[in-house]
Amino acid sequence: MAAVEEVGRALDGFVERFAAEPRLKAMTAGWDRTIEVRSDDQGERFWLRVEGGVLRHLSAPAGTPEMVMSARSDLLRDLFAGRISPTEPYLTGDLRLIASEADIMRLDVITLMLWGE
Amino acid sequence: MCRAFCLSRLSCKVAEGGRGLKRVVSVSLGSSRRDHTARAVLFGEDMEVSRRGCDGDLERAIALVAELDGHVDAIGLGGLDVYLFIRGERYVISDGMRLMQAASRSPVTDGSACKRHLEPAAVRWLAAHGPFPLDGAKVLMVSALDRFGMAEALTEAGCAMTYGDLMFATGVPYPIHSLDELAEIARKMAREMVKLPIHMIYSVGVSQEASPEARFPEAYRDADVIAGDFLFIRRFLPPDGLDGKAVLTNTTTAADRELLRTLGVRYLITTSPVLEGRTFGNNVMEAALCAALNKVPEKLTEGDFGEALRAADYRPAVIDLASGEQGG
Repeated sequence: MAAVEEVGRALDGFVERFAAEPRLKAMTAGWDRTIEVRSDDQGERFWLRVEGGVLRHLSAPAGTPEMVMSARSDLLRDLFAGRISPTEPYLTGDLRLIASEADIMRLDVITLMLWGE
Repeated sequence: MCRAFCLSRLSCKVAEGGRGLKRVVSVSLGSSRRDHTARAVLFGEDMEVSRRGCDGDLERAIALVAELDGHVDAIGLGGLDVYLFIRGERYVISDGMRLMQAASRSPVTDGSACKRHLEPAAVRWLAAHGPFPLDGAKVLMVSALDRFGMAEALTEAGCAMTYGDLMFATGVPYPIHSLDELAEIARKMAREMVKLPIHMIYSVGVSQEASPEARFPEAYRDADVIAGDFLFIRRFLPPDGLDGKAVLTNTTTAADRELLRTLGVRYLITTSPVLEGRTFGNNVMEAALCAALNKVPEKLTEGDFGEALRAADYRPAVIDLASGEQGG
């Protein structure tokens, strides 16, 4: 199990990487979403908000989240830190996403733009 | 003897009494309603070519490939790719590979080699002999990662390119305008995307026959030429704004041609040659070449394709939808 702070730091790092990739602003244009990240083993929740092409790490939810992501804390930490890709844990069921297929695909693209080879 | 695609050495073999009818079956993830069987002389061999649609059911397709294995001369896989070739890198689509590995005796082809060799040749022919200038033409490729050879050839021909892979495959509003950026994004994404279930990557089964739902219609309207896989082009066609444009694709049906005509499209160019009045998909062409040469797809060389194209005096089919005249 990862510490709560470790997951939080990984999310902050993800936000920084997002801001440093200018193409993501265009790629998320018109795609305003709140993503709730649930750490199953910690019982913690985190929130990310994309709006106007900018990604922020929120301390409280902004409205009802359009996407809910849940996994073990160590997997979430490694995922947002770019140590693992989301595809395999998603396919094995270790990473669960409640969202439309189109939103899942968009999030996959964002992650791969940041962490792909 | 057939006029088209008669390789001289193969023609001789037939004349000497080759071993007779060869069977090629295309197993498709598309609808079974378009199943058919045809006889044609391909690559100098008398062939029976069948299409067997599996209505988007991957497990059914795997079972069918296993059932056909060893009983037919070659199997083509339609409606999906197994391999994507991007600047020397090969990416393997997981579900496609499951399908390919269901056979161990009959050669199995996905048409990717045919795309690499035949489609660039089609573009070069079009640049030299086509009914409109390619140099300077604005081209929208709805998907280029599955036909990088065509993308390279269009760029070499001087086209102003828009690659719509992110737009149409993932809904991300990001047109790509250079081959370098396309290759860079492919490197980031392809290795992971190929692991996704096939229905997340391709339109399969009845979804192939659904009415078009316009996506990024301005990209279609802004282009002079719309290129790429026809199922993909069709899926996102806008209802208007296509007057006078050209569509460059692989194979189409009579219904597809009528749809394009009613939308005002002027030229339809299909890279698959018309052989004895029919066009065959890339996977079928590649399977037929394997069957004719008794080769597995991995052993097909650029020279094999080159010889076949030269023997056939290859050219794509160009249809003027306004007049109904066919050239090429």
